[in-house]
Amino acid sequence: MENLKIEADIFSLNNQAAQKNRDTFQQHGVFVINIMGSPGAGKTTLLEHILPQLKQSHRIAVIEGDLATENDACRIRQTGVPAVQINTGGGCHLDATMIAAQFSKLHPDKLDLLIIENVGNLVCPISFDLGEDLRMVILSIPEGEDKPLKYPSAILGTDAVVLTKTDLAPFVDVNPKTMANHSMTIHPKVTVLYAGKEGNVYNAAGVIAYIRDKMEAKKQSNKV
Amino acid sequence: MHETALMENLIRIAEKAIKNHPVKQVTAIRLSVGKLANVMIDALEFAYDAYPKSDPFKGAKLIICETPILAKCETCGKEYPVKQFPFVCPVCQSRYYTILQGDDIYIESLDYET
Repeated sequence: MENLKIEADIFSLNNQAAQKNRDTFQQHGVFVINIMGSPGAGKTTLLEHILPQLKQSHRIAVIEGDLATENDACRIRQTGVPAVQINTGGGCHLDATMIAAQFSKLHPDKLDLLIIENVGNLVCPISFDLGEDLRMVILSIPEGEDKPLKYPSAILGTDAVVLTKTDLAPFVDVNPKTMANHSMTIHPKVTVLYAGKEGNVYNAAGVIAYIRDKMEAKKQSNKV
Repeated sequence: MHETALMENLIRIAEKAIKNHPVKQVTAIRLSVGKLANVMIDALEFAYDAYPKSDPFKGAKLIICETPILAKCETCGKEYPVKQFPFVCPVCQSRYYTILQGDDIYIESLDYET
């Protein structure tokens, strides 16, 4: 019997595709955000509220991932931002080749920012690099204070956590500060942001400022 | 639950690896799975058994070895094994760290007959 050394990461096929995406994004000068979170966390709602402001300063497109329906892409288009929908059938995550297939359809030369809303799932998407610059995990307050502790790899694998539906905190007996602290217990360097209704107004100003900062920081580092 | 997608990758990587070798039958595939790799070993084994395999891989055993998590303290440089979250340096109590090992799934090698 013979033994053949392979020593290959099982994610290497996806990682290679992700690196290709990264090169393509860089060539076209597109900043890419991968948004992840449980089903119902408020990912699409957050986008609906930040896109109208972000599109004033940047040319944006959105890739939506869901098992079925084009509902979320339709919601995004209502904001005036172009969106394509990926239906994974039963697939629990988006992978780098799916993104590559959609990206060319989005007029890459007329784009500054691509936002990918991953399939609602707080486990699987984390393992699949899409070639993005920035990862954001969306956790809604009603999901429970200890959610960051129960899904540590999601928190560890992201740059920022956005706590949404902050206005529901009093009704579900959750302290947003505790949820933020739990996130930082798992990942001390993570940025915690908030979004939710204040009266009748959805406030996601912190998220918008964070995205603008990160885009600007990348622009500056590209100049050096 | 993306274990099936992982199995597809496993077989594709293995198929590529044996291309230039006189392999008649693969008897075992050795996989090292990190404790922080977001997969369940039972589910991986189930997915492997269920995955349709072409000829040289038919009947090949999947041997899984679980890799512990190893972190390096960013404050004092100490390397330490981690059992559970949160990660805290046993020397200086710092919570800043880099993961050195245990967050990936690695195909180590395969056994074959010529």
